[in-house]
Amino acid sequence: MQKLYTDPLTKGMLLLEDWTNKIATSKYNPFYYHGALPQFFLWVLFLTGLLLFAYYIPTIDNAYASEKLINAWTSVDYITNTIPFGAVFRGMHRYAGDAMVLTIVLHVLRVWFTDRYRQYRIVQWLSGVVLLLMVLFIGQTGYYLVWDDRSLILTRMTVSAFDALPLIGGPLKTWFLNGEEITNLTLSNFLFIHIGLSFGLLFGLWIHYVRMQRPVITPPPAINYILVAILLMVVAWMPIASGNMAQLTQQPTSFEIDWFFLWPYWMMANMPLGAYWLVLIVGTVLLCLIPYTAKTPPVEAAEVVLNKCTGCSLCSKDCPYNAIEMVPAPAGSRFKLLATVKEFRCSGCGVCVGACAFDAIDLPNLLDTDVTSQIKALVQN
Amino acid sequence: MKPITIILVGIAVLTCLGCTFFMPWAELGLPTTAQDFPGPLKGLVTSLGLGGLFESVRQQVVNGILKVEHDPNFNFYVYSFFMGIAMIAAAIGICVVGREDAEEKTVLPSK
Repeated sequence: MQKLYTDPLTKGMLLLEDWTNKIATSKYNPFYYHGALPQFFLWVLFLTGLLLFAYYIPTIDNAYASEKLINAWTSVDYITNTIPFGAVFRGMHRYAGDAMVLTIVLHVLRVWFTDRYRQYRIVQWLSGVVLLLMVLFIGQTGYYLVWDDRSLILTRMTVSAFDALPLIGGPLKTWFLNGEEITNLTLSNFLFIHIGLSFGLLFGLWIHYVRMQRPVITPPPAINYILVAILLMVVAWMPIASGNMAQLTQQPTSFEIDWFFLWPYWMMANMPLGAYWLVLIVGTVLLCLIPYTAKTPPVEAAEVVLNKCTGCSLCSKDCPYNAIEMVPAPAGSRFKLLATVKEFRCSGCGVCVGACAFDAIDLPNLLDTDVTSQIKALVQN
Repeated sequence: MKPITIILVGIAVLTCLGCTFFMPWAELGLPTTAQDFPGPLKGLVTSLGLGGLFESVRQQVVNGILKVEHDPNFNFYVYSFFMGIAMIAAAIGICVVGREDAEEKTVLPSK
């Protein structure tokens, strides 16, 4: 409790939230929906992607028509310039991806600054790292699908990067290209990865939420309106355009970088491939290890006073972290159930203390009466 | 409801309705003269003298704010621009009304 008010990062974060509360009130404060914001953009991506998928043809040549060239690039061009509002939907799909990465980064910073990333939140942190990597890779495959000059150079750079890996490089390259060279099957594979992994995100999200009693997964409608409105206005201000159609006989040498998704390619272009993989792997491992480097003491779990617990299960229902399990009461007890605390899940938040009507659960070194007097002091100040 | 709330909600509603009015106009391709409007609307545009308004809005949005005059999809971008403003106005209206319900009340535990 003391740390929350002395740590400068936490203090700064809470101050920012406090200012936002003064303008928007806690009901519409986006900081209180920081985890739900990326998920909202995921739904936008699914819906806009559904429309793009309906008209997209994942081939690099005229596989379906002999007289007129029909391929990925021309189908994207058709979506953009022929279908009413196709350009808007395409733009929304692209910018919703960028917005998702941005809001994920904000989400990460918020949980880090408010000390909610370690111990009882370790599963959320580790699954979050995996989800972030998945989102970045899915976004990159989206750039391949357009099949313009940039798609070709990105595909070739990815193949070179896989080639640089010992042992697994060859199989990865074959998997990525769906063969030994770029063919129609390559784009089918890109489409499968792009969509398949996107649905894989839902499984990842389930793991992300599994230890949370009531995760906030949807922002209120007013915030949703503003998020969609921002997307629409960005689409209007910065319309999306494709480059020239990719030609396998040519070798494009430069491309426009989208810093949300394509920064790994900037790294690839500016450092040896061995060093690139080293930075990526070490960076990911360090990200996973952040929760273990915290110097703050571990949270002390709540304790059940055995002779007072009536097994009513109110504490279990109220616990935000699923840290209280109701087990059969020991033989001879007047009650059927007994609350037990899973220490590794407990955040020491004290919600259970407030939920218990029988004073049967306490925080170590912080008695029920102390908690009440602290709340009274806070309210009076 | 406080007077300031009523004023803010009124502005939000008017903005929302105004932008909603321009959205179908953008879908029509941003016409500025009566003969470019569909049949039933021609007379309305002439009698209300809206040609000048449409011309002015077109100049300001297409050439000024968005700079999409050379894009073949410019009317769709103008549509999404107005839809964006309408949604922001709607959200502000909802927030202004909703914030009165959002005042937190602290109840001290009695035990």
